[in-house]
Amino acid sequence: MRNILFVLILFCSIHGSFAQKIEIQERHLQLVDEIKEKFEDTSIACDQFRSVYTFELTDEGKLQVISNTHKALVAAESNVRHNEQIYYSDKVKVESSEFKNLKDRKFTTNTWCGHYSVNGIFHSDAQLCNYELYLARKGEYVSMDSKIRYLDPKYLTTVYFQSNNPTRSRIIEFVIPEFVEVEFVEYNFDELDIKRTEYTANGIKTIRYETSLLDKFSDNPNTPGHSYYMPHLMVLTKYYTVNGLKKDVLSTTSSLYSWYKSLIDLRKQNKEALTPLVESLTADLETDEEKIKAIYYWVQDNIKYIAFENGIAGFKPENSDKVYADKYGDCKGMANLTAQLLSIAGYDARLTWIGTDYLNYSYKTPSLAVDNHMICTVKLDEDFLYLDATEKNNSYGNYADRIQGKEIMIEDGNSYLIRQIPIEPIDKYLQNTEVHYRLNDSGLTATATESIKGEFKKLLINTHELIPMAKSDLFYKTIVAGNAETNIIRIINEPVLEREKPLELIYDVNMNNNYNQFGQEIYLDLDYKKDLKDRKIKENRKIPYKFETRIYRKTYGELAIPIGMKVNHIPKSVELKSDYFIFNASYVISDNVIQYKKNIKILKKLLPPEHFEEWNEAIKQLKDFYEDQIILGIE
Amino acid sequence: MKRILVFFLILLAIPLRADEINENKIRAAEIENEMWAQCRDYFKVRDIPEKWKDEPGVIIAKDIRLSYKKELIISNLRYNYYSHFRIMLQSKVAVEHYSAFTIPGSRGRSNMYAGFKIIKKDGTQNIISLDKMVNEKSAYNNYEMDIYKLAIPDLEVGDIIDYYIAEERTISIYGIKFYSFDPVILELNSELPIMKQRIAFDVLRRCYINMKSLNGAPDFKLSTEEDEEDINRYVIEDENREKVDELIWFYSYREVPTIKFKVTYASAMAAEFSSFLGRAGDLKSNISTKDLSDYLKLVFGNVKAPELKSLMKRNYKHLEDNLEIAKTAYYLLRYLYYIKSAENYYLNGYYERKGRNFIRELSTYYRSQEINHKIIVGIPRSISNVDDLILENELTFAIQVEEDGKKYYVSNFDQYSYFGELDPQLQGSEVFLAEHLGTTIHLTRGTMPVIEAEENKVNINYRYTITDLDKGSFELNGKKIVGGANRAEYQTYLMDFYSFKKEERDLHPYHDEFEGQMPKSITELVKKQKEIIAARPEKFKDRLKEMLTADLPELEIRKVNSFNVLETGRFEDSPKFIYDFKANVKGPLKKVGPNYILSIGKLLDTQLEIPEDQLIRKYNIYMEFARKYEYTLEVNIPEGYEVQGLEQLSTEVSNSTGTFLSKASMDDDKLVIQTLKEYKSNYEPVENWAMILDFIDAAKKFENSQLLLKKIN
Repeated sequence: MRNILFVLILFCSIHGSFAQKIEIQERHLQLVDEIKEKFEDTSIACDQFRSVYTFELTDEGKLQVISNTHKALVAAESNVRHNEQIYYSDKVKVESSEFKNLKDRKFTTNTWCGHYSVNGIFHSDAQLCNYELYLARKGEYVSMDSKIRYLDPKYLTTVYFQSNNPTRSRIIEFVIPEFVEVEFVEYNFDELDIKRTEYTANGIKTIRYETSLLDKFSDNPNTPGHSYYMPHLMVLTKYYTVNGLKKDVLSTTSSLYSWYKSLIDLRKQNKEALTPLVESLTADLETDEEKIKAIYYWVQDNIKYIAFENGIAGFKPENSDKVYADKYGDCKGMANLTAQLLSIAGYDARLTWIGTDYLNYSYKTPSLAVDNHMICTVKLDEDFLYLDATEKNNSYGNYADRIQGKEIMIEDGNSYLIRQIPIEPIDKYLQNTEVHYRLNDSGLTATATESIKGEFKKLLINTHELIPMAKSDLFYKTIVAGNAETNIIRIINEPVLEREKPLELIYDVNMNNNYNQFGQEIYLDLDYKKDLKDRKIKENRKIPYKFETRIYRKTYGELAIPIGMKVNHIPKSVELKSDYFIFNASYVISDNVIQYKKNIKILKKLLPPEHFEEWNEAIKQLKDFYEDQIILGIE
Repeated sequence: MKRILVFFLILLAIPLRADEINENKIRAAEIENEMWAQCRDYFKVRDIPEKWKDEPGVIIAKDIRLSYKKELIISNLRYNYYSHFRIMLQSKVAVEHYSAFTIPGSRGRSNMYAGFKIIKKDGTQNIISLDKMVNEKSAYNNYEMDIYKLAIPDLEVGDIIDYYIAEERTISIYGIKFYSFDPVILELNSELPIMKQRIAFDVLRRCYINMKSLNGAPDFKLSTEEDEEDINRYVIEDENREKVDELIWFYSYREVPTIKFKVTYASAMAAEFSSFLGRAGDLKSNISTKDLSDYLKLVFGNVKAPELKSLMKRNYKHLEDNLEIAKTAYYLLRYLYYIKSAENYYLNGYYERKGRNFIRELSTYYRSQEINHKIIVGIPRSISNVDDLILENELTFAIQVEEDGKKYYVSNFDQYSYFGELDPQLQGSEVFLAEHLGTTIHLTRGTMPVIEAEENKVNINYRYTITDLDKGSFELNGKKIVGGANRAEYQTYLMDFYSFKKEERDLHPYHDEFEGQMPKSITELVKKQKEIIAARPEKFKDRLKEMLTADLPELEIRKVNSFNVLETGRFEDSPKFIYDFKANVKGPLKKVGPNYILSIGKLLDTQLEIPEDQLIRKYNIYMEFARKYEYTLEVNIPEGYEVQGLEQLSTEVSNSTGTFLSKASMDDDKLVIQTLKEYKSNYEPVENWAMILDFIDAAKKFENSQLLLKKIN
């Protein structure tokens, strides 16, 4: 019996964490008070977060980077359950990780390690280890030390200052032997006081960045990619010298292109498998536009987005005949297939790398971090036409929101071309509504026609394809109802969802919820949609706000003033304009008709924090306008 | 000793191995042959009925087969699960859905098998190679898991996907005489219509089978197909099933054709201890009164309640009235379960729960004091009718105390429940009533009452004081009185252990605060306690703010200034949970010309709206419980303004299923509005759906009401 007990005790002590009798020291409680002063809502904070990146050669003369990270956490309240993560992949390996308590004794935690899915990617080599921590008492202090190896320095692209906890002291250090050339590009340093020091000793250069009192990663909605606002460093490992030989890593944009080219040159292009398809698609077509469109649309409609980004597959496009046979692929596969089909059709079609609007970089900085997407470019005479087959139901000649204005790198044999995707005029986003109101004894009703173009229409087509047919009617009602309830809408026409034509909807609106009679006055609220009325941005937000898409909504309505009534009051017009938005709304009386005109434009997707106040004031004025009503007096 | 230690160390050092799909190639080929080459004719069908042409997809054929066998000689059971689907993909959404599969890898004694093929519109068949699968390994501590992902190539609208996934598992029963497999409940409808389906299971003749078909599902038939000796095969064949969508107030197990079953392996001697088992090899589809009675003897026999007995004797021996004794014992047992040692657990971030033992101990105590009571034995309404009892774990228990010709129910056993509450899941149900008579348990039948809506009433009083007309700012003084089954949601959100610790310790002052803890631990616990208590006021204000934001979505809840629990609602003589609060809000009050429009309906909690696609309904309506919501809304009208439009606020819609009524009046400068919404029953037949919609619609319309604050000239 005693023997079994001993074994059981041994068993329990090997696995799982076990409670230690820990003395919480006064200094840790003071630390908590200090942290709570700045970050009052936090339950856990990082006292020290230090990362040291050491560049070194392997025995085989390959340059690698070792990252040693020390993170000390303190509980700001009792019973804190917290998860820490380390990220790794096929090129980034975790060599060790350990936890220690306040007494510097190691302890184990429940740990899960495995793949995780990001951005709709079906499978990749992106993995993480998740460590479950339990800190029972306020002031409890634990540390995590981990060692990660970057097998190839070009995969060390960026280093961020912030983490998933508020941080009191943050240090990032780079230890670089003299035979390695590394450059650092600083992003979003304005808001923080970051000190940079550098010294060299014994042929080793140490560069240190230090700051303090950092907030944690934001979990606000409508947040742009981290590179837009979080302070970080882009690490550009240019080259290193070993045995007198200079080895290029990614010293220039040309180096980056060369590496990309080496990967796309691995493609096997099987013309024979694809030629019959090209012939069938272009057989009776005459113009370039018709032929290119036919091919582009075919890839959109027939190739599903299923992305495998395992290791080198994250950079090398899948062979076009395989994408064709599988009927699925990622952006690289689709771009490659589109390019190959167009080549067979006789066009100069090229692969093109691009960073979507998730990234805030340009090709001036040669790094794997600057792009995350691939499209196809067709050279027609001196012009370029850009085709992104991942954008389902995107019409020819239009460019998706997320790539507009972004720099691209187009393959050009052994060289490359840098261009920019044009920014579409806001008119391409037009959602135009015309409303005819009727006021009679039975109340207020309306009939409206609505025409939707652009990015929103594309989104609607894509969404409609995923809903059961039985829910179609509710779907269309939801589109036109805006902020109103769908049960006031009755769709009259049979909407047709087509790539190249606006979506047209005709519907009746029962507006009795917008009509009241008080004594001899009638109160009318003509705007059932009330666009953006609740889009106020939280007052203490500091992160830029990213809109889902640019917007252009135009409304025109008419209400004939019934005989025996006169207008006692109409809402005061609003006219608000900035570089980021335009809001106009007004009621005008003309020939016994009340005309309602409204234009709502969001001109840019990204609103910087310094414009939040302006935005919120504009939303307030717009909301006040919506909530004001027309008063008709009965004569 | 050394050898045992080494054995354990080796055991711990070897992580459980994870393996591939179809790793046993011979077995994989056999299964593939069964599924495809030797499939039944309905797995060869390619045409879809016209009535289902607009569905996103149609399940042409579905086969589920479970197998429960024992290996010869070796003490292993084999559990095998085979699923085979053939689905016509008629839309992009169906293609998207079936374009990718995730399958757990083989692990330990469980082997996984799978196969996928596509049938194109022209009839060409393509078998998908599993070489395309990717393995996403993961590990939790030392326990490795493989997840395989497969993207199906060349899948288009109009294709048929035909796939199977199977698991063959070995379970060691060395030294075990009784092993119960997990019970299975299968609905015959799914989210896609089904043309033909078959459910079969093969059972070792020495196993015990409990099985029942419900709601019109066909019965299992004993098949003669199975060649193996010592095996019975039971089969259900079914066809032409429409899909079932998600619905509000819907208990699918009560409406949709369902089958439930469980298989148990037991030696003859071990089987005798379980009265729910029939004869080995025979299908048992009914539980007799005797079976249930024998089961209850096991569950409720030989239970001791020493601590309860001892404390009752020491502190309450002066009580003579049986009802008083019954109530006192209930509350004392609640204290022992949820208060006495609970603070330690609470401060360490977890809460102990003790479920079924509560009722057993309480009943044992009642018997010892000769308190006249019966044990209510039923099945939750959401699962089944008691006549369809077939599995032990369907059962739920309660107590019916009988005194002076009256009945008192005891059925909820948590820190908030009180003597006299009847579990909503038993209300309106047929039940068994069990009574100990000597060494036997005698069963009779009964019907549980449906507690009326009045007992589950929520009284809400909102007093709005306009503090700034132009800004639409209000001070809101609110008070809610929550009764009956409505309490649970509020109590768990707006109370914690410290909300009732004092009232419990005043009532039961028998133990020290941290009974059983070492002094050093107590010092730490006291520190934690102080910290948690200090943080409580803000914590509950934050929670109330969240609640108000959800209940009053058209208001901006700026700040909760105060929140007080006035009564905890934990005793039958003060059964309401009552709280009040003060908050600064911004409301729907807007200047229009010289006047103001007040969207008065938005000052009450948001009303339920039935989604448009559920306005036509095919299934009966099951609500949690009957209930009422009574609102009194007061708004002060600023001087210089009069209210117009009051007459529009008078509404009454009332029928046998429910009511909505509203009325408005002026009381000096106070606008007073009263509304009542009542759901009269916890169950309505589908024929009454239109009546339910009527009063819900009236309430929703009221929510859109507006009044005019007209400036007096």
